This record gives sequence, C-alpha cells and structure tokens, in this order.
Amino acid sequence: MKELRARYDITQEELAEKVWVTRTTIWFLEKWKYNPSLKLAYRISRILKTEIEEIFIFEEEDFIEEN
Amino acid sequence: MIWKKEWFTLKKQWWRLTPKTWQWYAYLIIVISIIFLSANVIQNNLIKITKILNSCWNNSCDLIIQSNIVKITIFGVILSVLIIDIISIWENIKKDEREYKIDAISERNASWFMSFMLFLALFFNIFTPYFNYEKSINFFIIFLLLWWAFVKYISFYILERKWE
Repeated sequence: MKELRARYDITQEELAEKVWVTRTTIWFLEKWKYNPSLKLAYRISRILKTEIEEIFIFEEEDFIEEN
Repeated sequence: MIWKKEWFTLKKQWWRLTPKTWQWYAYLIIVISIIFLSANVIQNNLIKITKILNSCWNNSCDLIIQSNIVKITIFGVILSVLIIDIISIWENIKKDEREYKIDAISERNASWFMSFMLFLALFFNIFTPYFNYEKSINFFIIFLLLWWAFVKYISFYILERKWE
C-alpha cells in the first residue's frame, strides 16, 4: 500500500481524508496491524486504482483470530 | 439542522470533533451564547413567577405571569432545538472504523466491569445482613441489573433483526 501511495504521490493524510479514516488507521494498515472492513478496502483500492487482492492479503488465521 | 457536514473532519472518539472551517467555530460561539442566554431568561422568568405568586393576587399579576410563561416557552423551544442540533452532530458525523471498534470494545469492557460490580454489590448486600443481624435487600441494585439486562437484550434483538 505504501508503494502504491508513493506511485500516485498521495500522502497518508490525503489518503485518509479520501477514504474517511484517520491517518493513524492508514499507518496501522501499512504496518499490517489492522484488518480493514470490506468497505474501507474497496475505497482504498478505488483511490489507488488497484485490485483489492493486490493491496491486501487475506489470511485465514486472522479471520479465525478475530472471531 | 443548522450545522453542515463539511464543517467537520472525521470524529475521533465519541466526544472529539475536529473543526475544519471557521463556520464550526462561529456555530459553536453562537450556539453556546444562545444556550446561556436562553437558560438565563428561563431562570429569571421562573424566579419572577415565583415572586409574583408569593406576593400578588390580582388580575394584572396573571397577565405578567402569562407573559413570563410565553417567554419561558419561546426560549425553552429555542434551547431544545439547539440541544437537539448539537446531539445530531455527534450522531451524524462519521467515525473512523478502527476507532469505532476500539470504542465499542472499550464500552463493552466498561459494561462488563459495571455489571460485575453491581453483582458484587448485590452479593454483599444479600450476605452482609447475616453478620449485622439486619435483613434488607437494596432493590435499587436489582433494578439497575434488570435495566442492564434489558438494554443489552433489546440492543441484541434490534441488531439481530437489522443484520439478519
């Protein structure tokens, strides 16, 4: 996500404002410390003009852990 | 509603709104001033009515009381509208989804702790009289516990139906 952001020259702050989250959330997403909702993932993929699967990797373990 | 969504940025934690434009500051100053003014007018008129009721018994006094009641009603309506408007800001401004989760989990933990403390209080309330040779159950604690359970299951029922 960080690379994609750099490619489109968007700062964390700008991306956060566009997808209606805080800059901290973007920071957590880039550090793989937070799993976004499907809605947020879609919004980010639209802004970065990339498929969701290319930005986020789904891991079964995370799903089990959260539930 | 008086306020506009564009005046704010995202809500961080439930009480914190980040103002984005000068309109928000203007709104805040005007609304708080009107709230204080309304509260002051209502209070003064209530004092006047009380004084008149204690000292005057003729028809002219009734007219004065009526005019005071009209003032209280007008300012009461203004006050209610502004308070509803302020509450609607908190309701309508979106929250960051991560902070929403954090907030929800914190609220849940606070609720668990609170209910645990209430059960503990009830436990002490039931068992300590045996040592003091007094028998009294605090029904207020039971009432609070029942309300806690009621709100929890009503919320559960509504959400279950909403997201089925």
